Amino acid sequence: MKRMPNAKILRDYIFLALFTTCLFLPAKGEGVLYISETPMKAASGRSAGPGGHAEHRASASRSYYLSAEDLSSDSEVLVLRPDGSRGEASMHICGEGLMLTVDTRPMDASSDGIFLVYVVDRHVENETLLVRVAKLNLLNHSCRWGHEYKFNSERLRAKFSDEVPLDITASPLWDGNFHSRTMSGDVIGVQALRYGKPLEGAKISLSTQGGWTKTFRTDDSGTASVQLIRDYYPAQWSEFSRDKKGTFRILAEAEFEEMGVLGDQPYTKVRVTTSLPWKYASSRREYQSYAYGLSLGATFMVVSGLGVFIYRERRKKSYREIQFDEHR
Amino acid sequence: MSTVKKRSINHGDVNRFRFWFQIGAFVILVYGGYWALDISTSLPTFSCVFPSSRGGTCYLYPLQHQVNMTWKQFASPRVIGVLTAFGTFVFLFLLFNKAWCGFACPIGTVQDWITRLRLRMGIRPGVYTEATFNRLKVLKYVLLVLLILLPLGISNSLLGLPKFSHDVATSFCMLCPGRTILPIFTGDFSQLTIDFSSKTMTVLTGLGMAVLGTTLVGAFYKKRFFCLFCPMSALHYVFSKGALLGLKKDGAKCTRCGNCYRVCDMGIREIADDLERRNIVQDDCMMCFKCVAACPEEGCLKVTVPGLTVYQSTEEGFFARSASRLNHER
Repeated sequence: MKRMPNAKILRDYIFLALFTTCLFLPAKGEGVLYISETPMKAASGRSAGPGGHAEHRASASRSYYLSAEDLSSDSEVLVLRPDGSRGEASMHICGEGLMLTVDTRPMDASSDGIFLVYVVDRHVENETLLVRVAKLNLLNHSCRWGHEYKFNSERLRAKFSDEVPLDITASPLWDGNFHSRTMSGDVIGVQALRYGKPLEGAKISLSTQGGWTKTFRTDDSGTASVQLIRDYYPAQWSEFSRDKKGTFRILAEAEFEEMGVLGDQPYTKVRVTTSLPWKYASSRREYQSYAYGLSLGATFMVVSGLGVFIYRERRKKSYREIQFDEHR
Repeated sequence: MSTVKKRSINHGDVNRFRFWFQIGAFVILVYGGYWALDISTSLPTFSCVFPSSRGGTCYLYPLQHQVNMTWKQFASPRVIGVLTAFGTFVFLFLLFNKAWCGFACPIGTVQDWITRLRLRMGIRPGVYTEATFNRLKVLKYVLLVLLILLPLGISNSLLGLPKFSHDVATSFCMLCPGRTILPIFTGDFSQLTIDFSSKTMTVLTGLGMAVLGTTLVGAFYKKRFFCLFCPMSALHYVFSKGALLGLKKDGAKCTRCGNCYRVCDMGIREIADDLERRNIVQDDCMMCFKCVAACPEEGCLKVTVPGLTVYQSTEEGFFARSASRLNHER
């Protein structure tokens, strides 16, 4: 006979479920801070990542969303333009939360490249200074400007700021034309930097939109690498879209024994987390075939070559000698 | 220009000049990016967009992108970009007329190299009959219309048809042998694949590989095989009459010896037969000026810019070239 759970057990289950849910929901001012092109859904992080800004067109400003609903009074925004000069950004509250608008004027090739956008939030909790850094590589490019930087390694390289407590760079994320180029299967090199200097032993984790996470630590040069897995599996091949972009987030974490005071709050330890979102597409190997391509090309070469050869052979006329009698 | 200079130019071998000029243009258009060259994104020649080291971009690529907008957007400021690109294309074209095809086109150059290979192998060329030639030349106008209509049909419903897939956005580029051949010169073989991501892409890339195979064989037997179908050539012809560089014929001096027709890579019969028209540039002409070099009549064919004859046929020049057999091809 099937036994029905009594009301007390059911109540305990519900309580346990609610408690577990609350445990994983970050409180205000906690959790990882990250920037996204699309509005956040709570703070789960599953919807995070750059979304729909056009990569091929210029824009006077570009807006992004922050994962936090509010920031401490000690938060700051840092924008570095591709030429290294300081850029401007403003933050305001909108229906979807905190919105960050970066000024990307002037709309000419002088600002062609990658803007570095940082939001740094600091607050003290239990004598620990919690520093949350959200970094964004902003692609500011218009194909109309041309692609004069495509072989300029200085303009193309992944940059960092030595003003940021914990910075991370990742590459390769874009191609010479400043379009995102990351594909599943790519090996991504990550470097952690503490005020511009390589940081050994930083905990790095890479999480994809599908929920896959890989955690590793940086070596003595502050670097580590990870291969991005494939996590796009449509049920049917007809549903496959090569343009579908997945998002991933790189998170760096480090702790330091440092004493200091923030405002009037002393601290004895510093914990820094830095996030960097990016997007990736399916690997071309998933939907492109050399075998079929070269076979088809070779078939057409052979068939058309044979066709011309046979046509010429059939038009050949056998030799017929014509003799003229010159005496007649 | 002094008489001596004029004489030395008219006695010169335009084929040799063109051979080296083509190599220079090929290097600039395919590898120019390495020297930070980006001449224009509206070049009136097949400077394919697919090699990342290109020094300029074929106008057909942005044209297909730009016409992919709604009718409403055609009445918006967005059309300024379309007009600017179009204006640049027309301006660049008017400077050199169809000599862009004969002297600069990288795909034309590759075809000419294939022709040289055939010559070395001693295989005779193929020639179309007049009827076949006239039938085939229409194809380039069909391709030109399609390459505009297909992207236009992505954003708009044409004749009540459902909107087309985004995969046809650069449909001509998918078929063009420039996409498959030119990246190879930069070590990029990724275009030699079939893209199975959608039915449209499978068909387009499949056709692209078929066109590649046929073009390589076709160019071996028939000089400038692909040029007869080239929609860029069709677009050129719309503006050809207003171009600065001209090819003029004085019918009164023509003896209809047929030399010009025999050396014409494109097989244009009018160059020999037409005695009436002064401007002899046809839609298939690539202004290689082989006809001028092969003409033995004094001043019958002339390459001109307004108010100036740059190069012209001379009897002396013809015999000088004939003597060195540089202008003779099997």
